[in-house]
Amino acid sequence: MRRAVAVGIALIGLLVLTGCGDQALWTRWRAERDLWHARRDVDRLQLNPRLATDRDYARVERRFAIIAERYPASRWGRAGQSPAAFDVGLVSGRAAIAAARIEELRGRLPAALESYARIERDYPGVFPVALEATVARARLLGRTGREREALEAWARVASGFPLVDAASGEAFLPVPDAALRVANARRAAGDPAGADSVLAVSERRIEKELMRQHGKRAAPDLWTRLSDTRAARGHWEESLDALRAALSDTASNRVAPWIVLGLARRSLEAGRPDSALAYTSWAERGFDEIVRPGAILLSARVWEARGTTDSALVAYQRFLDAYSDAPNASAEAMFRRGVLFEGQGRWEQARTEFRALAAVQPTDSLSLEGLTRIVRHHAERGERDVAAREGKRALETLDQMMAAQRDETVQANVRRTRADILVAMGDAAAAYDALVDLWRRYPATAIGIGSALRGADLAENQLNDRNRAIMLYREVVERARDAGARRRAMAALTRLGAERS
Amino acid sequence: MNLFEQIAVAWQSLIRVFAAMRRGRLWAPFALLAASEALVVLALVWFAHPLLSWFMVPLLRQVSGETTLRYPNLFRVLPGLYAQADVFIGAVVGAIVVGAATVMFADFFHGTKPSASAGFGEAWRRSLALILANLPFNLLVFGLGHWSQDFLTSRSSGQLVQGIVYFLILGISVVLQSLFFYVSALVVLERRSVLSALAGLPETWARGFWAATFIGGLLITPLLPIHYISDRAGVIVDRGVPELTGWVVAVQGLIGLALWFLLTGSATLVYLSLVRREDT
Repeated sequence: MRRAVAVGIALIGLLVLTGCGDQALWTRWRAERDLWHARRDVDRLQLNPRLATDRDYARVERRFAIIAERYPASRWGRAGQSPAAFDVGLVSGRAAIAAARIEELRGRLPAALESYARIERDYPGVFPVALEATVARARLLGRTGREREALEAWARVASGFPLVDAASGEAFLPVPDAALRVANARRAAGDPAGADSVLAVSERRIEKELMRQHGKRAAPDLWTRLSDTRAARGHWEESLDALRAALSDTASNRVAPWIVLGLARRSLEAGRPDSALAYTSWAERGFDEIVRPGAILLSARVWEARGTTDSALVAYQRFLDAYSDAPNASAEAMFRRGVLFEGQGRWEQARTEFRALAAVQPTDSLSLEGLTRIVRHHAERGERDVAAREGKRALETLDQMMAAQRDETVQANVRRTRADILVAMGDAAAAYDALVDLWRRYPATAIGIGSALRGADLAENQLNDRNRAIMLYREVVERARDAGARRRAMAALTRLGAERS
Repeated sequence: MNLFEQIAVAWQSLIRVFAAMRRGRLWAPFALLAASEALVVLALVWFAHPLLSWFMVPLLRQVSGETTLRYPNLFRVLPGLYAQADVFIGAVVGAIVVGAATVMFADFFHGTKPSASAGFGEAWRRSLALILANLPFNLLVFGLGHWSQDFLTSRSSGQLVQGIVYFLILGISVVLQSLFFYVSALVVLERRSVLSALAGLPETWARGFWAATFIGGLLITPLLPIHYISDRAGVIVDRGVPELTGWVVAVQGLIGLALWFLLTGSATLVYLSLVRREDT
């Protein structure tokens, strides 16, 4: 009997203790687990996107949607909760955004736009989620040609969100970036005063926030964005001041090398190459290895900007001597050396650089550009035989590459280069076929859309085949997702008198 | 006995203890160890559940930091956390379990029926002595592990140095284990006090050190692949299923349990055959 009582008391004690644990922490653990496993499903799809069917995407989208439903915004999306509860809201919101992104990926754009808008409304207390949803919506509106609404959404990002995430202490970088975007759009629309007004408001906001953030985690990012905003207003000295102030902020110790590199870049933009060289020299020698490659490359660009080609060539060579194994950067250094040699009239050396680049990094886009330049160089000088010979040689290389490479991006770049070389060789009919092939293969990409427009232009002006040009322009109007490309195609159809099918 | 004779006896002992693994009764003390280890693994994997979080969360926060409380970070450090907990389980529960098992193995090898209650009764009575007599070994191994970790972290050593230090630590652990190999037998079979048992160790080295080293060295090898896998918990988490590290740790625990059985059984048998003096 006593034993039964003792067991009973122990059980009651256990049940009491059960209530002592943190329910929100348990919910956060489960929510993070669900989100992690759903993301793994996406990773698996991305391993080979071509094999993934719409049903696969729908299944993953459903998984994210279930997470958002299981931890509803009405319960977890409010402000002023415990940190663990806030994190649940964050997970729930990110799952909802992931579901919307997959909708977007599946081409269900109106549904995706509606989802983003709903997330923005449902998670008012979880700023990172609301902000991410607004940014995604603004991007999608821009992509679908609804520029006025996109601009409104960007303006809401710029003014409707705090500059710093109170939970993590990190800066919300899309906020100042949105102001820059809105200003650019206004300037492009012929409203420089409006653009400057937007930037001035953003600048004041960042300055005010920096008074609170001195020495804190967000400070370096805010100083950098303040510098960008001032640069966008043309206030170069103040822009450089902001970066110098960033250097003196105690929170910037870890990012000081990048700030110095930023000072070099900004000095170059401000038309002060001597200062830029001083900063690149500091970045190269004043810190450890981490920014040295970037500093050497930038110093080469500064020498180029100053018109001191020999010094630029030396700087690029210095980079190659030390960092020949840095894939993209070394390709840039070799390519720029080729371009500089070509500019100096030292064609043999230029061609050697382009060929060396093609041999060392054949799939790099600059390497492909180098191949095209070789053919174009001879074609522009009327050396048709040499151009044809070099073109034939390049096309053989590209065909081998297409057979050997399975990477979709490489395949697209190689096909585009093939078309470029055919254009440079003057073989308009083959070039037209290559461009149409690109458009058919990659209709949803910038490469595909650009190829369609170039193909139409080629048909109209070199093949003198109006019908083929009209056919391609119509396809762009009907199928291209890029609003700018659709407008260009529509204008061409109007010019050709074929705006109606 | 010379080195080769000791190794021959150790090998025969291992074979006999291996055969004795079929005897369910001899596993009784190790069931307690298994239960303790299973509880630790479950408490770690389910730390966030409200039933456990009230004490597990502050503990994990203290030992491993706030980030461990986020999924799937716990699984990256799970083998390390389990290893730390295992040292304490081994030092307390393990010492008593080994004491009880030594009594039962001695009965078994003497041809009498081993009794779990007799084994546990004797071990419980001598529990403090068992824990304290094994404490120097456990502290030395714990300290060695910590020192090697700090050494490697502070120097950001390369793979070769890490490998050398790892095998060096293993070697030293085997030697330390050999030095304390018969301490539990001295406490429960000879009923010696803590100080008397520790003072009696040099005598056991003269008669059974090489046998102990051979058994220790041989039985550490099954742990190497499982250590290799659990050291790569981060990779399992990033490229696979995080929960898999829980199963890796569970398998590690099961293998460890079998090794505890073999070590205790062979230590008892070697002690009875080689080390025990007729006049004691």
